[in-house]
Amino acid sequence: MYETPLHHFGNFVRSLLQNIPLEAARYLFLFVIVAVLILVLRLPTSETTPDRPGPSRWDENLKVWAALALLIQLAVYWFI
Amino acid sequence: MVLGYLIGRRIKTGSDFFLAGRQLPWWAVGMSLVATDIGGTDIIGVGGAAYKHGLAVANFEWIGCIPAMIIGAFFFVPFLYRTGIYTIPEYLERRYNLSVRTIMATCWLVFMACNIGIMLLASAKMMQSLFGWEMWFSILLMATLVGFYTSFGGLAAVVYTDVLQCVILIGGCLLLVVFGLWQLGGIGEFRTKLQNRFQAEQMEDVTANALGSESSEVNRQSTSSNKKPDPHLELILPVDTPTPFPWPGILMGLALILSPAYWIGNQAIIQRSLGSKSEFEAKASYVWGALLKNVIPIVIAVPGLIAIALFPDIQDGDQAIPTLVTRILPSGVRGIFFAAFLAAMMSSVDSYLNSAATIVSYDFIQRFSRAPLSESRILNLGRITTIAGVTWGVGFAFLLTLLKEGSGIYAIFQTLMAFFQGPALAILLTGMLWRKAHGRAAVVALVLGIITSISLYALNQPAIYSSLGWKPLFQIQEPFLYFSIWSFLVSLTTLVALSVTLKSADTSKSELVIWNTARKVNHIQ
Repeated sequence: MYETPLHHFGNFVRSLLQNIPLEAARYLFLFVIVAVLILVLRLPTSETTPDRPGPSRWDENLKVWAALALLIQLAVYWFI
Repeated sequence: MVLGYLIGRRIKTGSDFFLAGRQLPWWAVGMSLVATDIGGTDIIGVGGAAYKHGLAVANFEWIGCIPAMIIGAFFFVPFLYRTGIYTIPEYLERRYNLSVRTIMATCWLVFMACNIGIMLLASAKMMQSLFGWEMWFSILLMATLVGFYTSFGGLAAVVYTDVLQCVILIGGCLLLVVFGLWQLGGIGEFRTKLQNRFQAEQMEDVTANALGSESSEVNRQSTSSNKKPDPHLELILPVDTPTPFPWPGILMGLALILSPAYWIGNQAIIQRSLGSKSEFEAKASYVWGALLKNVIPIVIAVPGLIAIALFPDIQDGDQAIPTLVTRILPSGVRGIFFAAFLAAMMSSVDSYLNSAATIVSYDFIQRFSRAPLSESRILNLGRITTIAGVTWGVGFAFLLTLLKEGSGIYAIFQTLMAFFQGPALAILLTGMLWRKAHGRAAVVALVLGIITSISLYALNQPAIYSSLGWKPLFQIQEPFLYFSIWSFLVSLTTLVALSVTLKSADTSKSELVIWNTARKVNHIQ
């Protein structure tokens, strides 16, 4: 049983990743969710409400529900 | 079947059949997205994976779905809706060339065809465990039911039956959780029993190590986690976990590659949002689906954990949920769960059947026919290809019954996806986001990426690496997440490098890049 350059490269990447503590990995997961949340909150209202004349109700703004879905995810990855 | 028949009577054109005449409401599409994603394979497979590896499998429904669905909702779905396409391969031809379209359509068709067989087999396994029905009978029964309403009612029948199935699916699986926790004596007792089980496993590992067990690699990894919390309840697992879910695979392979590939590039998923009434409703359907996704692990992964606490000695993980159902549910409630399982299975098989028929009809038959086909011919074509698809699925399911047990339904499904999802995402995203992405470069990148993932899979098979005298390439079980990362990177690098070298001069296709055309692509035909 011998190792090829592919094995050595894989072991190198693996040892790099092993140096990252699990708690830091958790923050990476949270970072992904927060990044998407910020992106959603920064969208112009015209992109998140029905395309019709006149004002929309607050619950017709998709930003609200998308943010709720992401906030639940933040809670899940923070507490579990 | 009645719903399929009633809807089917109103269908007159190919557009009615394949995109429901673009008249679907957001709430129906959103529930259909969830029901399609949760198939019979997930109820058995996710529960089984939770039984074997713990709560980490819930990542597939949480970070492996929700962020990608939200990004898809606001950026990619509206863009694809405006292009007026029927299929993702159709977009790829407009953006790149016919070769890319044909390769991707072939990949999707093979995947869907295999997947239909896998799902029919999963349902047959469940029915065998629950009622002792013969596998062949269950496969034929399911195929007949789904084949009827899908071939008759098209996408509208699929979506509206999915709505019913979504409600039954969540309700039925929730009953399993409630009865399981009740049997255990509540959530506190459930956690205690899981902890006890974990400690017992640790003791077994320590004893095995002391005796110089042969399986030293796995034991060493397990013992190294002695001081960590119970991994059954952990979402984020270390790099050296013996499970298929180490955190780099989940974060990079699942959340950043497989998940966007699925929610942005999967024909079965995108097709129902393309059938929405408007661009806004297409966006709303994805957001609604993302909200629903938050509850899914509670109803499909937690039963696997309950099975660990109640029946810790099951050998095959795929038997965890059937065992739980037959041993803890009273007979009447068992019927409701059975309905939930059937609903889950049907909602996925019907979607893949409908999408496979769309790909055959649009990306192969219509694309390569000499004269344009009339709407009525496309409609007939859709129905015939649906029936052909279900017939194939039955044959493939019978073939799978001959394979060895214990390979894991979920792993089979994910491995199939990992073969081409990474490369597919690389060319789709690059094509949508980068004006200079070149058609010929995309062909090479796609082929190289698929070869990479298949090679990695092959080189990780014991028969192959042993014959070469190599060590295994990956140190975790079922490393499909890593296949997708490497194949994505190979495709992306190849596409960018070749596109820069070839210096694309085809500016006419830049209108199909998301940034250039946010509001201009109105139904390019």
